[in-house]
Amino acid sequence: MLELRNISKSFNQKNILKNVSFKIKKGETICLLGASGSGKSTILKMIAGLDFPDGGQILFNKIDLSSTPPHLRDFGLVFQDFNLFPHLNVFDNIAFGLKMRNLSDNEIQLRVAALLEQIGLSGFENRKVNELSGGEQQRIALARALATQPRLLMLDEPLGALDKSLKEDLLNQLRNILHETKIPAIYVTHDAEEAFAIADRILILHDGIIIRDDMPEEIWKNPKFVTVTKILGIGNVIEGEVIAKNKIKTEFGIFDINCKQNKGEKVNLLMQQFPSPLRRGARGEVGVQINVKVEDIVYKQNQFEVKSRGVSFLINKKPKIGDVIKVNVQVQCLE
Amino acid sequence: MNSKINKLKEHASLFTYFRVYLFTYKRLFLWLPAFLFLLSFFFYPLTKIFSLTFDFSTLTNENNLRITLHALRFTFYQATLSTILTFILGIPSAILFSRFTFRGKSLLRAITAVPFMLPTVVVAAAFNSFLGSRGLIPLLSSFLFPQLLITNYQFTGTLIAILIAHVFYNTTIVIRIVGNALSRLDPKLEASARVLGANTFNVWRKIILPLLKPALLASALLVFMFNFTSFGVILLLGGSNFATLEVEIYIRALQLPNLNLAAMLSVIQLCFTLIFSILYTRTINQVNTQTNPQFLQPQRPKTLKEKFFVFTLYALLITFFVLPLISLPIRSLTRLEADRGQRDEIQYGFTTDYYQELFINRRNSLFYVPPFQAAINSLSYAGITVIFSLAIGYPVAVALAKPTKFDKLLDPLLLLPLGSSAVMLGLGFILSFGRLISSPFFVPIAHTLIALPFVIRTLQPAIKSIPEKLRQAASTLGASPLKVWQTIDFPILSRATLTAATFAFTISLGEFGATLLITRPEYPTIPIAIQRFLSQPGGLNYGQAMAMATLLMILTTTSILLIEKTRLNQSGEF
Repeated sequence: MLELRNISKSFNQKNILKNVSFKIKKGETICLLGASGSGKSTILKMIAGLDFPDGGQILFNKIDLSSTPPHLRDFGLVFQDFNLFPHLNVFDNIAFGLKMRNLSDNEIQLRVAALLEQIGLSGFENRKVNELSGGEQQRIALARALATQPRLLMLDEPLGALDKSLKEDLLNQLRNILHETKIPAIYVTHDAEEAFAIADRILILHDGIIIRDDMPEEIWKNPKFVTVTKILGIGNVIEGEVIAKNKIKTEFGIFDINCKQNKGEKVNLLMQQFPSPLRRGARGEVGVQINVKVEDIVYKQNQFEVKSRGVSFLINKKPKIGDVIKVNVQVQCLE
Repeated sequence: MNSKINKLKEHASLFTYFRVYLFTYKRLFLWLPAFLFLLSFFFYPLTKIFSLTFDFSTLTNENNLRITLHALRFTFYQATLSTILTFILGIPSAILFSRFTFRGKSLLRAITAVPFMLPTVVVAAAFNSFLGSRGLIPLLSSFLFPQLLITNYQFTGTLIAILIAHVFYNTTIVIRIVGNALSRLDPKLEASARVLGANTFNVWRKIILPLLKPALLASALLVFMFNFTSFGVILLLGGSNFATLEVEIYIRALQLPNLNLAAMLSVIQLCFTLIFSILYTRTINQVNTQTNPQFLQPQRPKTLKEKFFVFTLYALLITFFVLPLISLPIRSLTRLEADRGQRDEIQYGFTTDYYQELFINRRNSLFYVPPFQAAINSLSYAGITVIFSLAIGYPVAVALAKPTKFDKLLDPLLLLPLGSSAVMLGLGFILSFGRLISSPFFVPIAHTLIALPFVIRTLQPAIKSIPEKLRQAASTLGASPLKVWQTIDFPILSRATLTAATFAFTISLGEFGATLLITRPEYPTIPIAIQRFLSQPGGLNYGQAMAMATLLMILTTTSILLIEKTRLNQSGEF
């Protein structure tokens, strides 16, 4: 449905987007994941028609959108800080897009009531928006974007301004709504947890380039890049050196892995804790048992987080500082 | 040993007692000079005006009522028209400054703000020099194109002249209040509306205008209020046949004396300005609560439409705000017509005659003194005003920097002289002090009344901004109280004091309304001299008016620049 072709954009002589291309299929929810300032919001603005790419094309159903003004694109957009119209009540906020499309009053009444029921805020029609809580405001903002049954829904850090428990609630609600309505959606966030919870597909944006575009579970299993592991916040990244073909020397011993780097070069390895016996994976990852000297212990979710030389592992039995324990890990090369 | 300590304790308690005593009454002492000053020179004259008003025969006199109604009607009429015209220029300009960046933007913004601080006589003289029948445009065009005989050309003495000058003065208010509100609107609201299907027209109609309503209302009220009480512009550009309330007060106080009527008109005007100020204060508070911390980033004009808009408005604003102010000094240095009684061949072109004439005491001149004496008078009045207003304003500013309930109660009293017009102050002086008024000291006293609120409002935030913790830190580090004052208070206060003094100086230099009523002929100030020159026939008189107005313009613009440079914080309000 939506397709971005080689989109580039620069601000103050700095290229923030370099040849970004991706597609969204019907009914799919994709997640644009990246650090703040990586240009995620700019992509949304350009899709909405509020900003223009320096180069490249944006197509919807194979039609170039460059000459279509925002109000004729029929997309929905939800911002992090809700941006409800402060001078309108809840009803008029949700009805705004419908009124712009000159729907009959009767139809508008019905649709707004249905939407309010869907988000669990029936009877809120006449409330002032600045009297509502953050979570309520964000649900109204979502209802406002959904009211016109847009061809595409864009969510720009929609839960960023909410606290954690509310976030989980709303995330579930949002996932259900997206599944029900089958509206394709682009969800922009810097929070990996949100991305994994809601996305059918995750796109990771770094330095103006989409470095990964894959299913959540694939990205989790095979992050491939150091930056991806940082954005996802997974595993331990350690440094090693290629001492021979298939031999990487690290602080935790020598591993038999085949990395792209040449002999003598430094290499980053991802070390993920792995409970089952050792095995060798399809992507060249290797399972090993390493010895870890306990330097610090933190109690965490009914387990003990053991820290040593900048990496950490979870174990069930409380160790003592100075103990040497055995941990099963799976090691893979990163770029 | 013990007795020594006891003695010390005794001393200490006596000292503490004295300090507590001082502290309790300090507030009173701080307010005393201002209180006495306002009592004798504002409230006493005010009671005089009121006592004349409530004379039953004044209220019922048919002639008085007819004049009052006529003046009221015309005041509302011209103020409404002026406000509408100001908005027609102001709203696009507010959009220009809040939405776009372009070369020379800050300079253009500063230029649009200059007229607001200029004395009315300068503005009147500037428009006269530009469009008046002796001005550059009409004289040059008849000189260059003699075949184009424009008969009956008139600018001064028309309603149009008044309206144009009012727009010239007040556009900056709309630019600042509406422009600030516009740039503080969250751009995402507009984005949301557009994505939801609103075109530009609907975005403005449904989102931007409703959200700007308080700002629009507040600026409209303020502009209307200034137009309502406008005096110098109307008298100097319109002439006394355009009788607003303010002009009518002046006429009834001096030209066709009817002090009862003048008093009644003043009270009516005071009532209206009070209502307007209350409404304004209410709406401007709403403007503040609706602002968003996320400022809209102005952008370069992109589309052809935007470029056209920016370019056209840019050119228009430059023309409207710069040409009159430039044509004033040009006209003061060029001879374009014969002087009065001059029979020999006329030397057209560059001349410094008008400036040289200022130093000559002609027997048939308007004054008993050389015109330059007016400048000396003005400067000395301004100097005295600075001293008076600082001496009275400083203690009050100290009290208001950390206000108690008592201070907050007294605070609005200070603003009252602002609400009453300058002409009304003059009328009060005439009624209260009668013959005493011939003493030249009354002029700086009237100027002090007008400058005082500005002086206090400039000093108070500066005093307040000095953090107590800094003082404490300095003293714990071993600084004596004198050293603390020298290193912490003085650097901050000296700037604010300079700004306040410049404010008082500028206000006094340009003050026209009150001075016109109370000054004696042999002690003219620069504005009075300009007014007299302008009201006399002949090219020489006109030229001298231009020369004096140019000098006054240079003095005031220098002061404005000084104020802008030393100002601590710039706020968007007035």
